[in-house]
Formats: sequence, structure tokens, C-alpha cells
Amino acid sequence: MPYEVLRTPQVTAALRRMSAREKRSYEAARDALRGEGCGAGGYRLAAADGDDYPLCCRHLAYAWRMFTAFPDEERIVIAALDKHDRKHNPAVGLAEALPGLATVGRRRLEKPPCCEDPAEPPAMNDELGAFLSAIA
Amino acid sequence: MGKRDAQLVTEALYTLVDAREAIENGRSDAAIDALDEAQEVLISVKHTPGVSVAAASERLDVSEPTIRSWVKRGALKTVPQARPMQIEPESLHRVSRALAELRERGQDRDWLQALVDHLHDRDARGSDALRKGLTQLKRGRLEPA
Repeated sequence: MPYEVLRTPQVTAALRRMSAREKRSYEAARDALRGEGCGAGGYRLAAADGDDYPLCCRHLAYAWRMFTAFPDEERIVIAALDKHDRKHNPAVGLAEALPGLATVGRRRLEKPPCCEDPAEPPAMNDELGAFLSAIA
Repeated sequence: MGKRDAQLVTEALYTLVDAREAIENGRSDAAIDALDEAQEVLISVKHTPGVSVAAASERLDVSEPTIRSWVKRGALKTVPQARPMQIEPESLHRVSRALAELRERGQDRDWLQALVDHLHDRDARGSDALRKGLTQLKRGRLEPA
């Protein structure tokens, strides 16, 4: 059964800035989400505490990234498309991360898949739930 | 330093000697008790609430400009209203532990890659694009993809 894939206006606006090749990579990812569900979501983002965050990220063409959320088992929302800044140096963020550093590497040596089972997409957690609740 | 404080410091020094002996004899409980006692005595001596930038620099084995940079970035906290700047001991301790871990595992490429990934993910979670998209999701502004 194909999944219903929705997108936010942010995604629509970002698509207008994409080249033809970049758009094709988006369309391929979107079609894969329709057929495979969260199995095509890429990898799970890490939460602030090093645990898993209930959003997934899939790399598209060039520097584009696609973020997906899973409101329920049937629907997938492409929440945002963003261009990764290649000039960004992660070491710049090292100072901010230092206090929590000791827990990071041990807990997450590899990027986990978006989900193990398409029937069980990542559920919203407290961190994301609090963010969404705070939005008027 | 007054005479009473000087006596308290001497008392703490002898208690630390007791702690060292207890460790050498494998009596960890006695060592912890002695350390607690020394800490209690030293807390009662007049002291600054934080440590100087120079002392923090020596403790972390980084330059003083690096300490100031980490303060600006929020990795180290300062004691409010202290002039000249003093570093809050608890934050110094946390960063010291994290740095030790980083230096110990600095040759571990997998771990460093995991760290880089973590920082990328943190940036992604805080990106304007994602915040905007999640806000629209919350408001139900969705359309077919």
C-alpha cells in the first residue's frame, strides 16, 4: 500500500530554487517514500542528548537535504528542504558541544536508519513535541 | 589570609595526606571520607567563587584566548559580576572531562566522525528551514508532495 506523502510550503518554495537535476533527486526520494515509507527516509537525526530524534534526513543531489516527519503510520510529511552549507566547519561548533561531548561518541557511532520497520515510523518525542506545542 | 584560615588550610593539607595514604593502602572509603573532610574545611576558608582565566587555561592546557573564546560560545560559564573574569568551577570541570575524552579518543576516526555527524545534526535541527517547515506542519499547512 502506497503511503500518503505531503509537504509543507517551505518545501514548495525550496523546490523553486532547485536545478533540474536537484528536482529529479527530490522526486526520486519522494517516490521512494511513497513506496517504502520511512525505509526511504535516510537516517535518523541525533537529539541533543545523543539519542535519536524523531525526524529523518535524506541527502539529495549536491548539498540538499530532505527532512521528514511521521505524524502517523500512513502519512509522511516532507517538512523541509535545506541546503547544507559546505563552508560550514563542524569544528566551529566544537566549543558549544564540549560540555556534552563525552556522551556523544559512545552512544552513536553510526548513523541509524530512519526506521527498522516501515510499519513503525519514528514517533514524535518530547523534544519535538514541546517545540511543536510551543508554536502558536 | 588570617591566622584562623591559615590553620584551616594546614588542617586540610594533613587530611589530604590521610587521603593519599588511604588510596595507597587500597582503602577507598577512607580516602573518600578524608577528601570530603578536606573539601569541607577548604570551603570554610575565604575563597573566590570561580577560577581565573589563567588558572583555567593551565587546567585545560589551552591558551587564555581559547578560554575567552569558549566563554563567548557558552562552553564555559563565568561567575556573574566577577571582575576580572572568573570561570565557574562546575563548567570548568565538565569541559575538562570532555576535553580529556576528546584527547584520549583523538585518534579514533570513527568516534571523531560520529562527533562531526552529531554537530551536523545539531545544526540541522536548529536550521531556519526546518523550523519553518515544522511550524507549517504544526499549523496543518500541508499539500500533496
